[in-house]
Amino acid sequence: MLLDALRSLDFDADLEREAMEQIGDGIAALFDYQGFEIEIPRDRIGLLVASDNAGTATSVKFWADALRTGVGLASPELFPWCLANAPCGALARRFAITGPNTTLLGEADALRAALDTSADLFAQGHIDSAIIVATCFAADGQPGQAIALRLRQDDGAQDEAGLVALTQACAAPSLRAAIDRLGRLLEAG
Amino acid sequence: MHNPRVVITGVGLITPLGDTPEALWRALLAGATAVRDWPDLAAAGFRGTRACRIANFAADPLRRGRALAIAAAEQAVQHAALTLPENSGVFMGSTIGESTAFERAAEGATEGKSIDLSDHRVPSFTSGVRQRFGLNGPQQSLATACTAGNYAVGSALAALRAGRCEVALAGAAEPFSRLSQVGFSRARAMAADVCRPFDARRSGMLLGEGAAVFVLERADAAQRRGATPLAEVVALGLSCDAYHPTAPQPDGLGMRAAMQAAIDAAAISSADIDWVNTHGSGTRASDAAEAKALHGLFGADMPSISGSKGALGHALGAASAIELALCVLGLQHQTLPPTPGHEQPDAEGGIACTRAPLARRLRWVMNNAFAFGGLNSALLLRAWEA
Repeated sequence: MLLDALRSLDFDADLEREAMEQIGDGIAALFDYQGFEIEIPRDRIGLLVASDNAGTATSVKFWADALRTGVGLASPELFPWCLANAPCGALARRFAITGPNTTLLGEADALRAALDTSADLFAQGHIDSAIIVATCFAADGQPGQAIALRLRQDDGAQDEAGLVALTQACAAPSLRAAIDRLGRLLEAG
Repeated sequence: MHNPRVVITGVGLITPLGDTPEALWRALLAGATAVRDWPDLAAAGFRGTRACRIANFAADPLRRGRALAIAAAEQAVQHAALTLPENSGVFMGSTIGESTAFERAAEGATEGKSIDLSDHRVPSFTSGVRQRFGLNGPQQSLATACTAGNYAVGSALAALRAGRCEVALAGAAEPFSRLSQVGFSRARAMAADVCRPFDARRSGMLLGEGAAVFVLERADAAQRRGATPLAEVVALGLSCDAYHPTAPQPDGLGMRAAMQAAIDAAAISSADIDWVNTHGSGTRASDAAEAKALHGLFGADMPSISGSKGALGHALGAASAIELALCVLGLQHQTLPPTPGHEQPDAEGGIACTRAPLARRLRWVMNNAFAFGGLNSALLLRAWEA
């Protein structure tokens, strides 16, 4: 398994829907597989989101709005974004990724789970590449943070340094700390 | 690559129609349904007041999902007659988590109060089960909406095959969600009266709640300790429509791709499948797409088809776990359950489902589950054969 690209960004949107627009803009380059020896079909790419709070901000807003307007007038556009898997689904639509689509919640353990799941999907022959987006949506006065990484299966080759760094990030006490560690990895080249 | 065989050796569940697997099975075969009107929803001004809720499960409203998960896990472990190793994995799925906590947070926000939601999301179910049994193995909290049960069991299967744990608890839990009741109603996905999977008169879904948890272990280890496997977990197929936030791809190709992926991973053919437990939500669009997927995959060799949401409602994240338990029970009893609410298939491209218990030889069963966001999953079980 090769770690072949990383993208990092902070974002200021309060709700998941707007945040995913910003995240999508920031990580679009990872979805460009041109230049590889073999074209990777979109159904052979796994998309995974690891988050500590996906769905939370929209759920609270949706219900607060429903209380204000009456439940009969609650926003049908907002409701799908109450579901924690909505961000991963939005990325799939934007980049036409029809392979396995997985959302894992938690702290740094969610990033660990996303890596394990990617390794399992590679091992079972379901995918040729995985894109993992770890994100903490804005909450409690903290801005949104995201980092995305692209993994490839390449004839058993291993990016030992990259994978060691990922493993170290997964040992962080929180997902925000894990994203910080990966961000430093990116800065270090 | 060599894949060690993985089996289910314990099942636990809490549903509106029964709080043990056998109680649920008896009720379902007897044609019972959990659908009823709920005065509290009417009093709150909800347009839809029918649902399948568990009337006799007492829990802190802010911890109902976690309590359901723990109760189901306790049953499953007892059923498996197993002392869990500390490094057992826990793989739990759900949709929102403790919906009531989110609702209270919104209500509190309007009253100048606040609630800490960090311990009310899906991982609180996972940590609750881990703490209950003192476990420190791998964990995953899968927030893949209505496919979460299939995903959780599939993740446990992969972890066992990879050797990351010796035993796994996997399943899903969903407390009744007023937020979802309103949301699906506003998405025009709710039935006014009855959920009728694949019926020509279907008009939508009804919400449910519940939990189901399974003990999974490697077959060789289960046999060494003298356990009787209930079913073999063979493969999970996944795909994504990448089409629409809520609507399925109308041609059903994404759903079909997930089913085909499971069949390919199991190295069998579609003709081997004896029974498909459908997602069968009862909505016009989802059932139509699933029907196209089934026709496209199986053609003239359609296996027996059933669905249970007409009796249990749609328990969202827990639905596919509860229905997987029905698949295990069906394999055990060599019987398909009826499909409550299903009477008359669509005249064109319809799917005929069981209308009464159907005894037949069952070896392979596929459990379908699909979700908002275009998520498609199909989990394959095989009757245990040593």
